[in-house]
Amino acid sequence: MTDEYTRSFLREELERDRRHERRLLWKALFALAVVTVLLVVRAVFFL
Amino acid sequence: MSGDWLETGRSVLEWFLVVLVGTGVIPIISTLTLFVAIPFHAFRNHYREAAPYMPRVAVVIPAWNEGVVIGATIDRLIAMDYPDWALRVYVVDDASTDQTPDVVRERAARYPGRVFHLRREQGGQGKAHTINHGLGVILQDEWMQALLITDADVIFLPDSLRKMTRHLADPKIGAVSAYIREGSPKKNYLMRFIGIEYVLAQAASRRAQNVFGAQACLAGGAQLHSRENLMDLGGRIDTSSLAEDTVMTFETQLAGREVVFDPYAIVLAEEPGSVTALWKQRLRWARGNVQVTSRYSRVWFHPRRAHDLGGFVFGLSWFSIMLLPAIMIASSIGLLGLFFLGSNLAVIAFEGLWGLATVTYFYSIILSLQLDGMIARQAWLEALLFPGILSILVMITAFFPGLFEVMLPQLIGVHATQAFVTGWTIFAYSWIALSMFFAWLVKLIDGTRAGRVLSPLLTYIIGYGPILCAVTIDSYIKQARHAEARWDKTEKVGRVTA
Repeated sequence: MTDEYTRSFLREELERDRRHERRLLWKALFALAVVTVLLVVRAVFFL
Repeated sequence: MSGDWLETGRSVLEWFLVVLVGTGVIPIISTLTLFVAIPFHAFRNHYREAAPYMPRVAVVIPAWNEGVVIGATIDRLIAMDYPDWALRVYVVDDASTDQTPDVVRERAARYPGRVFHLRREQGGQGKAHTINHGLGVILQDEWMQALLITDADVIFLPDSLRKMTRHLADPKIGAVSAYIREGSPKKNYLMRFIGIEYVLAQAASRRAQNVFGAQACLAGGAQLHSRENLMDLGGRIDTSSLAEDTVMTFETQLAGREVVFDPYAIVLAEEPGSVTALWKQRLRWARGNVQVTSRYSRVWFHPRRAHDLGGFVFGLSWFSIMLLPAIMIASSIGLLGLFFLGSNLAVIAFEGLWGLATVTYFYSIILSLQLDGMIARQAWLEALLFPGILSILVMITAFFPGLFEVMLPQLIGVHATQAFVTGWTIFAYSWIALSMFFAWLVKLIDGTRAGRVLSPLLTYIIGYGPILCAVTIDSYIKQARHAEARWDKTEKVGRVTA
């Protein structure tokens, strides 16, 4: 019973970490958005 | 006729200088490739193949005069959320002359059958030899199913080990690396820079290496090997290099097994608090990497089915770091040459090179800051100033042309003289190479009384990155001179308590 509980807990933990990794997409998009803003500022005011 | 030759010669020289500047694009493209790959870790990771798995783990800790830190490290290992019956800690005491033996013996008595004190009466041969002494004992029976190699100052979080072992459920995996975070509760300026460096080099880059299928280095302080992998590698750690962890990483992958990095398996480590100590530590690492580069000369850029170490991206990334100082100097020579030649290409090359560097820097640093919220809160300033204030000014000069020469002077009601513009241009073109020379000066003054104030100040102005590049140059020189390759231990004072 305890062993089964542990396995189920570990499986949930694994699944949670796997889901967290999907947030990388949004994080990369945010970084890209900041860079895009910089490029727009450059294009508008400095070129 | 001679005018034609002169014109042709000038043209050839001009394009040669453009090529020199162009070498600077290589490390930028390499960084960009790695950081663009990071979001793909959302899908290309090992979590689908991983499964709940808690093998019997033997932890081996090489220790020489670690009395200040070893007790807490053992306590944290024993307190981990890992079955009591499946965890043994072996401290290999490398002829310590401090209180290390007493502390370890006391812990062995407190945790009977779980903590073991192995003593080498003649020590000083280095970490790999010390670990091998422990392996000689651990491998005498079949108890150990996985081996965790760690350092005396590394603090494991309760879930760190089980997050590493889950990957060994897949027999393809030979070794797993954790994410080492700078763990000092009160970080000085250098520890904050190191914290950011570890986010960039581990939490970020090692995710990308997972995506590309080849890991460059298992974290020396948190590497887990399956018994099968260890036995295939001869049941011992390589002792011929200063970078035994990198050699083990390469050998594992060359033998056909995979190496995985788990960013959620976090361990805390105490890192150097002074430039002098940092230099000593990094010089050892850099010299180890020079040894690895020549040792695996047949691996680079030779793709194989069995492993991805010969892949183009991996080779590009490795050599971008190894050759970065030479590339920086070549770029500066190219830019200055074009400038003094009076070529129109000088401005185009400068704005192209530094503009690309600016975009890459902002993308990678903003992405990285989101990968470790704790370090981001503690060291956001060091993240922004990682290349140094002067490099940031050069970036602004390239990315926003006219800002320093025209716009800002107009804003404050002055006119930038031609001498100022020329001087600033020469400085901006040469800074990429000069920065390493000034970084070396930071190391020189670090040990002095003035260094207490000037070291932090100059590190912010010149940058942390150039210090690492200067260390790489030092490693080339030391290797070329066949300087003695000693195992210089980094002093630990027990700051990290988690």
